[in-house]
Amino acid sequence: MKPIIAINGASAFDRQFFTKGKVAFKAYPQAVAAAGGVPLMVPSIHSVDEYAWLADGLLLTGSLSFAPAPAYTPLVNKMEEKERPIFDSALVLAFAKAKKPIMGVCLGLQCINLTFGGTLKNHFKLEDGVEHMLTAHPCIAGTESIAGKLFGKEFIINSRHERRIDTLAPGLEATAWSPDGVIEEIKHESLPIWAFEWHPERMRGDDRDPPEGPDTTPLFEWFVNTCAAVRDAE
Amino acid sequence: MKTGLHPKVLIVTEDGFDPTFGSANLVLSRAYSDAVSSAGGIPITAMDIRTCSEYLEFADALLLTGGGNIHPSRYKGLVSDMSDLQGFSNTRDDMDFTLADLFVKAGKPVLGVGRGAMVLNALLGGNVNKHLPELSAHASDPLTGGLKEILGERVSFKRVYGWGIKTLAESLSAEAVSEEGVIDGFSHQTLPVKGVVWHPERELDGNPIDLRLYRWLVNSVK
Repeated sequence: MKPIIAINGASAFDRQFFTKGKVAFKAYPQAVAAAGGVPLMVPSIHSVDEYAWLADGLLLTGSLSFAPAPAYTPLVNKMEEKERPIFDSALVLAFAKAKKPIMGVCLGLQCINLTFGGTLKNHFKLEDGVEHMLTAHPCIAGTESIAGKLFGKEFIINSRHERRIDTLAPGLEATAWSPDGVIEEIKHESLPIWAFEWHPERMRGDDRDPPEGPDTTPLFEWFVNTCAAVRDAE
Repeated sequence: MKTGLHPKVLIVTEDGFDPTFGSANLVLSRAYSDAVSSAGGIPITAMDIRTCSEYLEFADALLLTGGGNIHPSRYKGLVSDMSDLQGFSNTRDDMDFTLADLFVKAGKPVLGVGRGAMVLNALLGGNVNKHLPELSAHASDPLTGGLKEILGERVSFKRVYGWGIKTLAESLSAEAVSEEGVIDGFSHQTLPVKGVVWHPERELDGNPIDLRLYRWLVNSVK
């Protein structure tokens, strides 16, 4: 059996019936399926422990919306609902407890850091004077960087975030950075947890964002294979 | 594959598009996952057509959800007007029909609501009426057979579609028929497969959420 990769949807509104819904960009399941995994959206906060039991790994996805001006932050928080950080943190804790692999992307990275006790800086561009929303820039990989092992010491990545890690949680370490000092990749020192501030799911195949970046399909193959290896070791 | 867990109910999603990031997405109304949870199942959601056989392997039951029109070629029809394709998505049709076929053939329980009932009927050889005659907005159908056992003598619901079942597949039995003669619900004659055109997981027009069909789906898992 191929490894089952749980994917958290984002809280959103279902436009057909105008009720609460869960939404996931297709790029995530497509990357997982192309890498040999079985992508499975896990929608209910009532079944978090069961999801950690039945799946072999967790792909913690990014946000659906952004607010370039601080004045809009309350509006976005209202749209995204209180449930999302609670649900996402519950998934992280359940998979961490089960010692199953977790790969975080963007908000997923931020959620992992918050869950383990770190902090974020919101609208860091106002303080740091750097723009990281819908841009591209180099990623400088350290020796422990997974992406660095696959794509080299320096490669081009996309950038789509308004928050960055401020202080790292105990147990987490930074493994790659942007030239202006934003943490772009983290890992846990003892658990199988890795996360990326950039969006590798948008850098596959012929239609890559940014076009000069590497095809990141091998990163998803690495994660799916890691999930299989952890499952088979038990 | 039955485990020590509650039954795992696979749910199909709508196809959507997010204009902010310019990206295709999958949309699941939480009314479905909440109904599955409340009925005692674990809701999980299908995401990629390449892994349908794996979904069949580890999910215990299938919920075919509401949505847009089915392509007329699915029931040997022709596209005669663009309105035939309202809400149509070829990737969704592919996913729904592939999963429905796999689960029905495996004998696993399947519930179709709204569009999901149309998918089941078309899959098994029935036909869709794209333009129903003028019908009462508030249906109150007498029930027979399996639907009567689950829901009692009669079901009331708000009619939200202008399309419906024209001819029922041979393997299905009509068990909810409106006073105008429109088939609104059916059961398979031998398999744990049911379809209803209404949405029991939604509070619509004063009709409260009714979990009895969802409990049937979860409890039919062997």
